[in-house]
Amino acid sequence: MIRVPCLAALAAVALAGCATTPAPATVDLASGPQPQPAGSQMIVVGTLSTNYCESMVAPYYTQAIVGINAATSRVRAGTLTPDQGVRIFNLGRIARNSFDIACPNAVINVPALQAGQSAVNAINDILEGTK
Amino acid sequence: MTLAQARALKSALDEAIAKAEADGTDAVDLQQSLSSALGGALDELNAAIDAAYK
Repeated sequence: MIRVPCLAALAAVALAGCATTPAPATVDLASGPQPQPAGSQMIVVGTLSTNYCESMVAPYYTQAIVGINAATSRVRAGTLTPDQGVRIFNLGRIARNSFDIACPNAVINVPALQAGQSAVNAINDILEGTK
Repeated sequence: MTLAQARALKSALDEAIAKAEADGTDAVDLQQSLSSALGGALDELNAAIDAAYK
């Protein structure tokens, strides 16, 4: 949950703000999920950083939304087959399920973020490969 | 972030703020709003697929 005043700052700095604690050195969320060494799959960001975790997950949702919307437009236009649409739909569900569990209780769930991002990348690959 | 992403984020923020205002709370659940937006987008895609198969 984030506070309304923080939302204004959130939009103003394109999701880079609202953090009261700096990002852990092991998680470079500005450039996307990074591979983590074994044993560090759950990274505690801090007790005050549920805002931060939520703001870090947001761009991944928007990537998925944009990809799904593009697929919808292309299925309607006939430039994407229904079967390709189904593949993208299934990947979109994976992405959503992954992102929904990526931010539990002030913890960034890196594997969930990575799984969701992989699904979004696969969506984009299909869209790019069928232009 | 692309313009389309920014629009999706703005829409989700607007929805989350409106819900918080309606609920009379200062807490905004952005993640819930984004998840709902993604779910809505998936529903639209599903409908487009169904129409294309017919």
